Amino acid sequence: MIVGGCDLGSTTGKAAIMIDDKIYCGDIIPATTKPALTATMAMDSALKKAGLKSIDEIEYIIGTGYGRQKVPFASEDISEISCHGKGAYWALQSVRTIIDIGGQDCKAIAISDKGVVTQFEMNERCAAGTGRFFQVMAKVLTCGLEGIGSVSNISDNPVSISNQCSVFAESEVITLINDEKSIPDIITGINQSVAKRVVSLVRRVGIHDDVTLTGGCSKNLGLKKALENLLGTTIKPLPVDPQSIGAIGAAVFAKEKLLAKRAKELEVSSKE
Amino acid sequence: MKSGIKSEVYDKLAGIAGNVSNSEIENWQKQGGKIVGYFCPFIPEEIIIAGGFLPYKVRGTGSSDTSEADEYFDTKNCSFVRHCFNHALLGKFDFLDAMIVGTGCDHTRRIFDNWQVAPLKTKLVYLLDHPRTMGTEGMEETIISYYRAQLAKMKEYLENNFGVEITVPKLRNAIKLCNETRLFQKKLYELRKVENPPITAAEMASVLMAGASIPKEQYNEYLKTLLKDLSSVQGVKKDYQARLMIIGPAIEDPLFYSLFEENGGEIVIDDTCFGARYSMKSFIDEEAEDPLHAIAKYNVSDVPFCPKINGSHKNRIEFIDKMMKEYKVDGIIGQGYVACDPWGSSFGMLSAHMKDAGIPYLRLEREYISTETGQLSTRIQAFIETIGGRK
Amino acid sequence: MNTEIKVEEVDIYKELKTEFGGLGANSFQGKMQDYVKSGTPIVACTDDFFPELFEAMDLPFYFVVRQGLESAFHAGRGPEAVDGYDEFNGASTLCSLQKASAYLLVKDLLPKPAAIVMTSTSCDAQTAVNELMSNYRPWAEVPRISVDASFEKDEASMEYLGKQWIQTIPFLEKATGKKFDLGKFKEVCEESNKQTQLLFDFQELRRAVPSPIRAEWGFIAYMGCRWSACGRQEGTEWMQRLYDATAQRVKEKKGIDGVTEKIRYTWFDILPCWSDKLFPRLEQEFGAVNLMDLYGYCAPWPSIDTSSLESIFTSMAKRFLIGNPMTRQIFALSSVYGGDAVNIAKNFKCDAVIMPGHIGHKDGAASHKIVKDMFRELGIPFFVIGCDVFDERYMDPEVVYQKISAFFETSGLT
Repeated sequence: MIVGGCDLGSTTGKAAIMIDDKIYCGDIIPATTKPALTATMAMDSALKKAGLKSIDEIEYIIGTGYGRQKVPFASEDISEISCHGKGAYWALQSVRTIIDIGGQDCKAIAISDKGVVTQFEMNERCAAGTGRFFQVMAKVLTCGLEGIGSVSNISDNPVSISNQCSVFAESEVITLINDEKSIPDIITGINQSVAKRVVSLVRRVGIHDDVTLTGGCSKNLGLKKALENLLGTTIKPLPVDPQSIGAIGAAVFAKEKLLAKRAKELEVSSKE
Repeated sequence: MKSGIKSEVYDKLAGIAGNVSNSEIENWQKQGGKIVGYFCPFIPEEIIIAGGFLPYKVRGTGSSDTSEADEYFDTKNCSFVRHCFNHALLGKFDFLDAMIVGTGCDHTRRIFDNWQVAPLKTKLVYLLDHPRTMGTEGMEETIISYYRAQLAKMKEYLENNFGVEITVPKLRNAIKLCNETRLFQKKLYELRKVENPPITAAEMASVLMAGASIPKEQYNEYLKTLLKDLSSVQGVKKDYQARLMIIGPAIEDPLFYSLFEENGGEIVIDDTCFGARYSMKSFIDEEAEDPLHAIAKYNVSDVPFCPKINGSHKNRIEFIDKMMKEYKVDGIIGQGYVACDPWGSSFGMLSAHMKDAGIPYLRLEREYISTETGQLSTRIQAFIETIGGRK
Repeated sequence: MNTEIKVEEVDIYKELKTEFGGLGANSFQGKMQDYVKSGTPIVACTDDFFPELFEAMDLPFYFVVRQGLESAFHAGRGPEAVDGYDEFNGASTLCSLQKASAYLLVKDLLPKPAAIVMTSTSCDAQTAVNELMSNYRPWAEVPRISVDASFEKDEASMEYLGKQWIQTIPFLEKATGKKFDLGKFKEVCEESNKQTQLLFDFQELRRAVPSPIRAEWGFIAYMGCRWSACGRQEGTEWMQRLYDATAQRVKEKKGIDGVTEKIRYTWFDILPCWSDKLFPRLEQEFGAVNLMDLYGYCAPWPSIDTSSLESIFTSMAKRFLIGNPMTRQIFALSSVYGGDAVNIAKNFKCDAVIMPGHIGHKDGAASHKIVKDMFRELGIPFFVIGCDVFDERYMDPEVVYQKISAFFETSGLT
């Protein structure tokens, strides 16, 4: 059985293919101006990883993410919240709380011991606590997103970033740079500021072990550390790329949907 | 999404709901009739009708920005008020002969202040002081009497400015007329108890909105016909995944309801201003010796319309719990507008209540007119999937 | 010789501040922990509509919102409380002070009352907290009395409010076991009348050029007379000393120490919790002196008419509706709100008026154009900021400072 999932996020496209029980993730594709193109590029990469020749070999595909309705080859779409729940549970069955920090959204998701989403919370319109916030800061600090992710756990003397709005926080950071505060101190301060916003969302759904981190920002080690401090628990790493969890979840859903569809067809044909 | 109602009357009502003005308003004016606008359900349409006026509920239908209103209001103010006032500044409510504002929340109350100074065609504007407290033992009658006195002042204002007389029999007739509307709307709601309701939430919203924009006699006739038309409809669809109840202020954007329907959720009942709160809670006493007192009692004790009323939370929860059972609701949505503190706070309490009861609950804080629906749609879809996962 | 006098003057205000601390410590709220320990019945209430009644009944009480101010913001834990409230998933744009109060309530961090007394003013955020107090655990079962304040301010409205307030006496007697005595009540009310007269006279002194003291003294005087020692002789005596010291300064034409007064302005809202990050800089940089804030301003207060129980409550209702800070301005028409700003600007010879535009004051936000137009006609520079007077994270005090600097410069005041 060959199924697939495609997660069309606000800043990147991701795809995963499942052949029997094995997952093949494609490369993370930066979003183009054409959603359908991004989706196709992501899926092409996954096809290559899975050693498949054509998308026609995939029997069922689920689209998810911000642009889930724009995935041209999807049989149906499911929200990224359900997919992150499904994907994280598939990767690590002990997970109960998922923190997904994407390009423009941040979500806290609670799942049951069967991997079903029981409750979720999402950030309001503002960019605070999302990847967008880091992007703005990386630009000001001229260090790139990788820079924010790597130097961050050095500082023992982080600055305090008080503004929650990315626009005002930007000017606050500029002031700090002008005051000649050290870059690691500033970056750690940024991570702590984002972590605070995120943790208030997590508290609304409840903190239940194991907690894991998914989405693009999961690669930021400083943020992970700041989150762990505030949550008072360790964040369990996933055995797969956490940025592809949405696409993996979509593929797992695709498998379930296909099995259900086959069962129904069998039922119908046996009745005939 | 359409249920596929084949009803001329429905199409007519949907047309009325989709626009600020309509042909019935134009006809009314051609015949020399006067129109009185109002903003909150606290302002009794019964008194307006008894004066021979057409009561018109001001709404922001079709508004796309608030740039005119933002000279008067601030982004700290709710988008409901700003869209409506923007319409006023654009001359969309020039057909109003008078406007009545209530002393409800901090946002709506300021419509009165700004209406007075803005260059608007409608010069007559009145502020009705209505109570913001209920439920203290032994004080109910004091509060009702005070409100009654305020209603009498509003009645005099209309009488003096338009040279009419609002008599007790006229008030009684108006109450009867509005109770008839309540009865028909209630029947419509009851049609939605079944598994495959003949009318969707979005369609229902249009029908209710139209009711506050045209003469009541005519509207009641339309409702009668609509109920007859619906009796022969087979019902929408059974493929929805969740029966939902929505709670909050007035929702005047049928598109918003469609977001639920598109994602497999059917809103079968609500507790919103001008929604089920209007018809499903209580009627006004038609036989009362003092009709003004009966109206006051209805608004203060029977149907407290909004969480701005201190002590109203208990009344609201009781109603919600009752409706949830009657309509076999799978999940609750608390929907309010950004900057609204009374509703916002009550949703915090509602969330705790639903958690205790084990009912899935979704909080939506949004703008009065939906433009960006991406994130909203994700939340709604995920919520419905969550309910589906529990089943 | 001169130096000696100056030292002495500074000491008077230092002493007055220490004494003010003493009034607070000795107040019902200051001794709250003792009452909790001894199991004495406590009353929680929402606003300072009649502290005289609690004083006369010797009934410990506290304002929930004052707890938010003192236990959260003044204790440096404001942000923690605000974020804590946000986890409750209530109103995201609620006034940060009310968020802090609500947080303390929801988390059961306030002394549990034997009775709750509420009146339906002044802002939406207050309603939100009132509803939490009367419906949400942990206080859901506490007896409460909820009184309706009218928006109208005619005679009938005063009677309406007064008549309901009288009901709090049997309610409190039943809920707390304390007894009410009319004679004692009259005594307290008369003492309170002396205090409010002093408050008003003190305010008149502050018209002087240069301003004898900072605006914060207006708020301190208000808290001393209304929140800590209302109807207590020690409060009256303290207020008298504050008046005398200030009268002396005015007589000597003394301005604020170390400040050369060049710009006189009004901060037309509550003084920010982060005042120290803003006002001293404005004083030093521009010689800009803040003369008045919303809590430090008392419009002429009607005194309490002690001839009968009814007259006491009706006159207190009048005082509340047309006198109490915030209730007077916010729970009123925009013309009253703007009118007060204009009166202050005129009476205190202001060169500029600053409207902080606090996040919680939604009604104020909806009045900005009306007020702006009033000042345009008057020719006094007027400026709206849009900050949060409690939670400085909403708008950095640095940004506020920059905005005000630009305002002063562009208005030609520098």
